[in-house]
Amino acid sequence: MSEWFYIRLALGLAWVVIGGYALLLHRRRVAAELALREMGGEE
Amino acid sequence: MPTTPTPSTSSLSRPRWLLPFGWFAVLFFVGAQATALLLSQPDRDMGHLQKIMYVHVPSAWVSMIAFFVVFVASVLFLLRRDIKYDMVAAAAAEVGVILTALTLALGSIWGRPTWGIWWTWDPRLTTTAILLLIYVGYMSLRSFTEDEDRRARWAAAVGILGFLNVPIVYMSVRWWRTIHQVQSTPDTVDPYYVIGLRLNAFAFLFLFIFFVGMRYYIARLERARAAHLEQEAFVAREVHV
Repeated sequence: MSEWFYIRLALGLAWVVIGGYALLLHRRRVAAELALREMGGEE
Repeated sequence: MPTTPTPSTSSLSRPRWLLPFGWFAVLFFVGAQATALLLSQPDRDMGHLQKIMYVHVPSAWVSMIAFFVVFVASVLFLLRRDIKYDMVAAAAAEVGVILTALTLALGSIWGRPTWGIWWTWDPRLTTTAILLLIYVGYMSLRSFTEDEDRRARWAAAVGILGFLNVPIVYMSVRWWRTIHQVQSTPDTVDPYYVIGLRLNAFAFLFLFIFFVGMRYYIARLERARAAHLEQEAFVAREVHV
């Protein structure tokens, strides 16, 4: 396999992991804020 | 009454800097990656494969910073017994685990075309894999008990002891004969590569600060919700009695 295969694999993995974690945190934040608001725990 | 005090509502508001800083960190990361990848010339030995260094090396550097934050927050928790330090340590450990796993995976992808192997029991690789296992253990340990104070004390002990491996990982390439290269310095690297590495080191650092800040904020919200549920259950029991 050419060196570009490994470069694309590595960069793709890094971007997916970082982007995926950012997305996961976003969803967890929205869920946590919503849950707390529903319980009347937020102003 | 529940032992966990309910945090005041004002302390639960999202820090104003968090989301704008998150966007800044993401845009800086995109810019740093584009600059490094588009401007860098092929290396004499590695060719274009050196482009993998712009994610592998910053990820490794920032993972060590993450575990240093776990260490400091763990010490502060044991000294002051303030649960916020435990939450900071947990947040930094989670991000550190992700970055260490990423470092190992990226190193492996780089190693296959360069060394001809995906993995070898080289001291740097082995100590890094042990580092990952220690902090995966740290994360697992946190789910062993519901008692907040006990969980924080156990985690702080592991967070402090686990950090002993970080200098070993860093020095492993100097202490033992190893296939992994020793740390580069600006004197041993072409200036083009230094700019790319520095930009991406800051990009990963900014992302780390954002991730830890967000993870800490979510932990505070989840803790407040747990305290609220506990209080409701207590009231329901009192009414029943």
